[in-house]
Amino acid sequence: MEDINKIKEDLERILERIRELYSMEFLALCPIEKEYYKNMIIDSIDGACLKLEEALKILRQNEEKRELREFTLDELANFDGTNGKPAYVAVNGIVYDVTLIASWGGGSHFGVLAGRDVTDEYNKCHEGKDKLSKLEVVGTLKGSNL
Amino acid sequence: MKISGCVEEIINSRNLLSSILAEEAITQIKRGRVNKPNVIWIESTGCSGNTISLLNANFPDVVYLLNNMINLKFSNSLMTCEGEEAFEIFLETIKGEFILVVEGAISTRENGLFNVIASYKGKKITALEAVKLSGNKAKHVIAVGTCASFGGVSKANPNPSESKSAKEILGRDVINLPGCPSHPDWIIGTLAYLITNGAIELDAEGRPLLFYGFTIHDFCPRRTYFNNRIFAQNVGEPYCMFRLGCRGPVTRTDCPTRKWNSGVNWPIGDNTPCIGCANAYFPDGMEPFIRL
Repeated sequence: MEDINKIKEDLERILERIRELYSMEFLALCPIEKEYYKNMIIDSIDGACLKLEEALKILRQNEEKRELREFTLDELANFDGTNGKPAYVAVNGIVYDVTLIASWGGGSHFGVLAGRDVTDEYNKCHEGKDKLSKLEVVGTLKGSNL
Repeated sequence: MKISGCVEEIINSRNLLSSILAEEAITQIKRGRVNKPNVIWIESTGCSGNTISLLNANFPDVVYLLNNMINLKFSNSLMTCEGEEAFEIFLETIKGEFILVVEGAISTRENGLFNVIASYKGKKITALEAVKLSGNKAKHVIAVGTCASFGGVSKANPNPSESKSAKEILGRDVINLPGCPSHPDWIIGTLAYLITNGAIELDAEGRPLLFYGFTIHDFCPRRTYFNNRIFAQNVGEPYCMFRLGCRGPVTRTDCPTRKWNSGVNWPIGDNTPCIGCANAYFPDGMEPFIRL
């Protein structure tokens, strides 16, 4: 949290600086000077963006990792995306969360339903393509070799 | 930006794109810069939905279109000639330059005998034969509707008529205008663009970027509900219907801004999830349409 607070202070300082530059730009008479202050403002905004990225990085690190659990096929069948339940699918023994993946509307994906082991379907359509790294892992499938 | 016109069109949501294109085409035809093209519209293994959809066009309406923009030489549904006389016009037209419009998938079982479109000198002319006959001579081939573009409902499992898409049959570049049915603006806009420019920019699946450049999800009026994770639990609720099985995120059309029935409404505006009718995998790959 300390890091975040520090970034917040930095951002406030940048905002202060931008305000200052803005009034200087307003008061300047020479067009070249005006241009100079404008560039300074853009540089400050760039700096602020970098600070925000830093903050995001810290937040992501702090984000609690979901506890991985073990699913049996019966348990997995509950997570089929219906009635507001999450949609999970298993591929090669690993269970992934596909609830909010754009192509998985309503827990179904080009005729494949969630809540099942979809290894065969996955290999048939996406073999050699890395589609899994973007998905969030929620656990493993019980009885799988992995 | 190549698709800047498209972006502007969607952001302004005035839906004037195809009427502007049609006006431009008609002006150029009147000034004699381009010729009014002959068009052959073959209705194959389909449901006539796209013809009905075309008749529903406005700005420009279909009468204006037929009078000023194209010479619709042959159309199984719309032409007044019948029998051999009608097919003679077809044979006459394919000798010159023309645009072929295919509606519906093409049945190939029993050599296409499941879909006979004409009888000429005692011989049954199948849609397969007519499409093959005209397809390779046509200046452009436009596949109107999901069936003609990708197989669609006609090709759905178990596909008893062994239907195939226009591209599979002809093996040449085909302009696909999927949709069940295709929007009249897409058809007229594409025809107008072809008349004035000679070619139209297509995506990997052969669809004009002008109309199929974005997903429905990109411009969905309920997108903020999706971003804030407010989902409808049941049909009829005015929130994001993604969890009910909405196919907006995988379907590329401009329905959210163009809307249907002369811009009156569209499925999501009427609380029904998108069923992905313009998708290449419709209908098998888009099922279940609603998941409760």
